[in-house]
Order: sequence, then structure tokens, then C-alpha cells
Amino acid sequence: MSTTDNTDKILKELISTSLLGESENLTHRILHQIKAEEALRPKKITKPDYSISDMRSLLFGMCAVLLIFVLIGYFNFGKTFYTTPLFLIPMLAVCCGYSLIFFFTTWRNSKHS
Amino acid sequence: MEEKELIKRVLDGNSHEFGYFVNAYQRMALTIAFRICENRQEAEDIVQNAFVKAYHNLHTFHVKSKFSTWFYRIVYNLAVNASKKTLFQSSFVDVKNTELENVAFQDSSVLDKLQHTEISNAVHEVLGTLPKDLGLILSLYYIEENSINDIAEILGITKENVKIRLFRGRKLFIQKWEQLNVLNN
Repeated sequence: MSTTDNTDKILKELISTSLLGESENLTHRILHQIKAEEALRPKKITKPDYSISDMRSLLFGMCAVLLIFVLIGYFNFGKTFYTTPLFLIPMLAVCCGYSLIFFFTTWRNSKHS
Repeated sequence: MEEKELIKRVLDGNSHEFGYFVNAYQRMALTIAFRICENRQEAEDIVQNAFVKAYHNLHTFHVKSKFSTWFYRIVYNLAVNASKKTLFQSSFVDVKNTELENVAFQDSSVLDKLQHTEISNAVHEVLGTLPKDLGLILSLYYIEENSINDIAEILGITKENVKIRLFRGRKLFIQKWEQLNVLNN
């Protein structure tokens, strides 16, 4: 064994004796403080019924419905169909309906938070 | 159970699982705090605050790193902040210019002559006479066998600085230890 290794071994033996012992009630004090602070913390806010991911799926659903509506109109009546009230009114109705749901959900989320 | 799993369980709300970390790291944390503030009661308060802080910030802990390194850094920072004396700036020497050959115990059988308590008291005495940063690095390196990288992370210094301080601490410790034994004999 080299001199440095031997010195390191002795140093380890010596310095290891300086490790302080556990305090009698320190563990209890720490865990008690953690529990007390945990109890004082405000409870978690309940999650709103509608999350952003729900809204996203709703948006995609609506876009899919509109796309189908547009395609059916185009193949049955041609381009002129887009200028008729038969197309515009249902389109506006769907968009307004979705906007209402969106605003209601946003308002509800902000009220919860 | 692995520490990572325990951390996950604590984060899931099982706060009692944190007791494992308190039991596992309390002694070394006390030793670190004591090396800095040199007062047992103050060291206990620092360790208590450190554990509470670690618990509340456990979500910021990166699972890839070691819990001990992360936690000892908290202890170290709290202890340094608590300690009004800021004697952690030591003058550095270049490792290349120092004489490594001189660092060795002349009498390795000295341990056999002393009882454990006597050794412990003598080691505390010698460590107490060293600059605080050197004593702390020696404790971190020899008691828990922390790597140079871990010590650098705990103290927030470079690896080179750790090596230099470790070398100086080792040399000073041996010198003081030999002096103490000469005086006792």
C-alpha cells in the first residue's frame, strides 16, 4: 500500500469519528414542523369541470362538423352555395354556439380559481 | 425502497415517508452545519430548517442527481447565511507548486493508542483549528466519501478549488494532529 493510500486510510478513520450523533428529538421536531405547515397550507383548489384539453377536443369536433357541412354543400350545390343563407345561417349558429360554450367555461374557470 | 421511489411517494402526499431522509441524512447534515457555525444547538436549528425547506422544494429536485448532494447544498447555504462570520475565503495555492511528499503520517500506530472518545475529541479539536472550509471539505470527503464533483456542487465551487482545498486541509490536519500528539506525549 502506498504512503498516500495509507495516509488516506488513517485520515478516514480519524475524521469519521467526528461525525456528530443524532439529536434525541430532532427527527420528531422536523416531522412535526412539516406536518404542522402542511396542515396550515390551503387545500388544493378543485379542478374545474372543463379543462383546456376538453375545450380543444370540442373545437376540433366543431371544425370537423363545419368541414363536413362545407364539403356536402360544395358537392351538392357548387360554389354558389356559400353565398346563400342556407349555408351562412347554420355556420353562424354553430360558431355562436361554440363561442357561448367557450365564454361560459372560461368564466366558470376564472370563478373557481 | 429506492430513494427516487420514496421521493415520488412524498410528492404524492405521503409526508411520513420523508422520515427516511431525516434519519438517513441527519448526522452528516448536523456535521456540516456544525463545521460552519461551531455550535450544536444552532446546527440543529439549521438542519431542521434545511429539512423543512427540502420538503417544500422537493418538486424542484431532479431525480437524476443525488438527493444527498442536493440536500447538503441546502444545509450549507443555510449554515453560511446563519453564520455571521464569513471566513470562507481562503487564499489558494497552486497544487503544482506544493510538496505532496510531505503529506503523510509519521506514526500510523497512533490510532491504536487512543480510545475512540479521545480520538473523536482530538479530531474535533484539530478540525476546529482548521479554516472552516478546509474542515468542511475534509468531513465531506472522508466521512461520506463524497466525490470531488459532489463536493464542488455542494459548496458551489470548481473541482479544482475542491482539490486544492482538500490538499491543503489534509496537509494542515496532519501537521496539527502530529503537533497535538507531540504535546500529549
